[in-house]
Amino acid sequence: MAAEFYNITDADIGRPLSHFTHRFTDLPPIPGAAKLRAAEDAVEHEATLEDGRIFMRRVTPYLTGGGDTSGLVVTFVDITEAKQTRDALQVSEARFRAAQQAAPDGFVMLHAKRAPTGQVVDFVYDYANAAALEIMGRDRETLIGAAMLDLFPGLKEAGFIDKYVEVLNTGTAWRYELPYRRDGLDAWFGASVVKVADGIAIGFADISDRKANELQLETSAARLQRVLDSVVAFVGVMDTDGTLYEANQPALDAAAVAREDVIGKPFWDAPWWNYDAAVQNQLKDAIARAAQGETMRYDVKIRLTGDQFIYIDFQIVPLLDEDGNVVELIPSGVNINERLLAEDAVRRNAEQLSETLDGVATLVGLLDTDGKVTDINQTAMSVVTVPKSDVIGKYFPDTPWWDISQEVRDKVADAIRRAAGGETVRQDLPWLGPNGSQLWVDFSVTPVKDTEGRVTALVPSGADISERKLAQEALEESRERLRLATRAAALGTFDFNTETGTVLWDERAREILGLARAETTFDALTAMVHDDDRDKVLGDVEQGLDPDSAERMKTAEYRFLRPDGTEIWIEWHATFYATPQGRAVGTVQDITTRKHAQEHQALLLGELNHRVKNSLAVIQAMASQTLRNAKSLGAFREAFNGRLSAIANAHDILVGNEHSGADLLHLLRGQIGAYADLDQQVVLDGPAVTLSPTVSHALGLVLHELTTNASKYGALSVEEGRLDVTWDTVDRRDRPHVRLSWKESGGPPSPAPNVVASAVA
Amino acid sequence: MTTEKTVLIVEDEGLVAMDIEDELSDRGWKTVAAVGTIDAAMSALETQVPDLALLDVNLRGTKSFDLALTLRDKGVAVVFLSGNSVNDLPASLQDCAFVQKPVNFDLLQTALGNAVTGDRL
Repeated sequence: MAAEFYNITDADIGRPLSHFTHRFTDLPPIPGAAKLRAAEDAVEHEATLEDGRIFMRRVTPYLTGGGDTSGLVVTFVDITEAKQTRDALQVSEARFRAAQQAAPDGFVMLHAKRAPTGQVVDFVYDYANAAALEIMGRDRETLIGAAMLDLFPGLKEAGFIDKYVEVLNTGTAWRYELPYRRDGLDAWFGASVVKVADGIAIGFADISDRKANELQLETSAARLQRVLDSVVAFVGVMDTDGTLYEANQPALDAAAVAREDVIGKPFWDAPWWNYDAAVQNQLKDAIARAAQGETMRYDVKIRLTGDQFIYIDFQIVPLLDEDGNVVELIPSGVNINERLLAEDAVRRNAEQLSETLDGVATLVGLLDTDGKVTDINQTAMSVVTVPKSDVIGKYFPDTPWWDISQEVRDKVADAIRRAAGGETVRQDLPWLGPNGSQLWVDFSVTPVKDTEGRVTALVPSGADISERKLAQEALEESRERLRLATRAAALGTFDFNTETGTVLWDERAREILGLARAETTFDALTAMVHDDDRDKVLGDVEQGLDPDSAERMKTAEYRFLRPDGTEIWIEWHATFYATPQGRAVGTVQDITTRKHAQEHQALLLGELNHRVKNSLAVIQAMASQTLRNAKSLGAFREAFNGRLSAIANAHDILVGNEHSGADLLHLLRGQIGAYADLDQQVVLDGPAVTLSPTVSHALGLVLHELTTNASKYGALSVEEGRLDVTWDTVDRRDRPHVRLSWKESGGPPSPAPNVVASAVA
Repeated sequence: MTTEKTVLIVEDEGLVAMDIEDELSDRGWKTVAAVGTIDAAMSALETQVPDLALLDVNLRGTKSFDLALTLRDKGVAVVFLSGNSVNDLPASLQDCAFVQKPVNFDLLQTALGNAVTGDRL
């Protein structure tokens, strides 16, 4: 055992102890034996061993029976624990005293003052620290030994004494934050009362300043609430050059703007912006950039009425078609006036952020500069399943709210890093909502700086903008659908305001009607309507706007003269609204092609009808004439069938030429070829001539008669007979005529004369 | 019909014109001329003004409406005989009798009779 303390072995026994080295860091030499004459002369020293343990070395004389000192007994006792406990006690006592005297918090101790019945009637001050005396505004002499109610009679009336007695009787501590405005005091106190023996100890502080801050926060928070409750503001649609098509009613109402004052006009000329050319130019620039596909966003002051202004978080989102071209712009704004004020208040009071904000903002918290959560409001806690203690101290991007994607976490981390650098960072981010839903928050991280401008903390805050996001998305979707639908149907749209007499057109409608501008007057429009249709247009509009008319929707077809002079057919579908000012919206469609097709079809049908009836009239006449000259029924049948075939042949040739007329050579070959060898007996000679349908039928019949006559009785009745048919064209009375010569030779004398036929080509 | 009425036939289909002339002749009408063009009709009028004119609407691509108005001005009753529809007549000639091709000659005879006596069909 001794070997633990000295570098000694069993072989060393018998040598003086002072010859050996020891293992203590601070051991004084063993005193000389002469000084130790009695047991009570024992010398004690504390010494610390190299391994940190502390030992008490006791050196006592070893006395012989005669009282002589024959040796020394050296013992070591491990006192490490005792020593440390004692030191700690000393330190804590010193700390307690220093704390009590220097602490900003007051501390008093009182003992109970009892009535003869044993009932506690008051408390007597035993102790008070400096802070307590200062807070209570009493000096030590007055206070110590005095009864509480003698000094502060108001405590009885305000019910404090009863509570103190309760603490004494039950042993249960009482913590309170209450105002005390009696006995010369006027402040908020935060206190903790505990039972100590037959009395109480009260630790307390003046929390008036903090309370004032909290109240201010509450006011700010209430304001914030109102803002969050009404995340209205502005949503609209404009074309890429900034002409406003649509705007939501609340925005118009807020600025007391009439619809027609802004719709169809450049957005920047609207009353919201036109108070300052710089603001207008900023907007123009934003529209121009949004038209290039960029999403624009900035906070800006807009005018409501007269000299009333608000700040909005303004955004312009470009709407792209499938080719990536910007077709429309969607401006939107959220009223952030109150939020700016509230955020400002939150920033000022960031150090004292408390649960006051609970239930207000979607998210308000406090982070250290490394991004670890120091505090977070209850509303945010309510959407996650973990307790607050799990979140506190955690790196904010790793908290459950951002458990949406790595991309989102990275964005939050980036925001924190930039905010720690002194920047206020803001962006829209998806965020975990109640019951696992996903919300969109307007997320910002604001650095809190001390007077020297150092960042001491970060305040993350988020306002729920899901509604705006949804509204924006829904609007985009519906515009997109409308755009696709109208494009597919080649439909343009219009919006007609009868009070101002203006009509707004979308791009497709402008294209259809050849309009240069998105807006025209109704008068200018009617001037472009075809003369024959103008009365119809005016009548239809008048009827549509008649409040007594049951016909709210109208469909009509009008002819319209485009500025370039072309005439088009338009089909209109209009819905009339019985608003006080009168309004009609609807679509226009170019149906010129359809109309032309219909007209062409009607023409063809009429022509066909006409021709069929004329053909029947011809056949009727032919039958009638054949019958008049027929000697027998058999002769009628033969003659009629031959003539019918001749007409059918002529008709075939007409059809081959699409009814425009028949070629004379074809007609001759068709009629004569049925009875003679065209190569051996017949010569056909003349220029190319096209005959009209009527002439074709008639000439076809004539040629039929001549040919049958020749084949029965003339040149074509013998093999050596010849037929020469020649023709030329002549103009007679300015109209082209054909002169045709039919000459038979080499056959028996024919009863039919040589014929010179003349027909109009 | 005691006195024979005179008729001008304006029909570009020769065979049809011939047949009409024969049929009307059988029914007591005297054809002053059967022509196929408006020019020929005007020439014929210079020789003799008939009681009645029977007009095809479409004469080789030209409508006979102007001719009809001229004839009425001269006091000639006009009856149309056509494969066209009665709706093709202009408003000013809507009161003229209109007979469809192919021809129902009994109907045509009645129409012609009414036209010369001023009765409506």
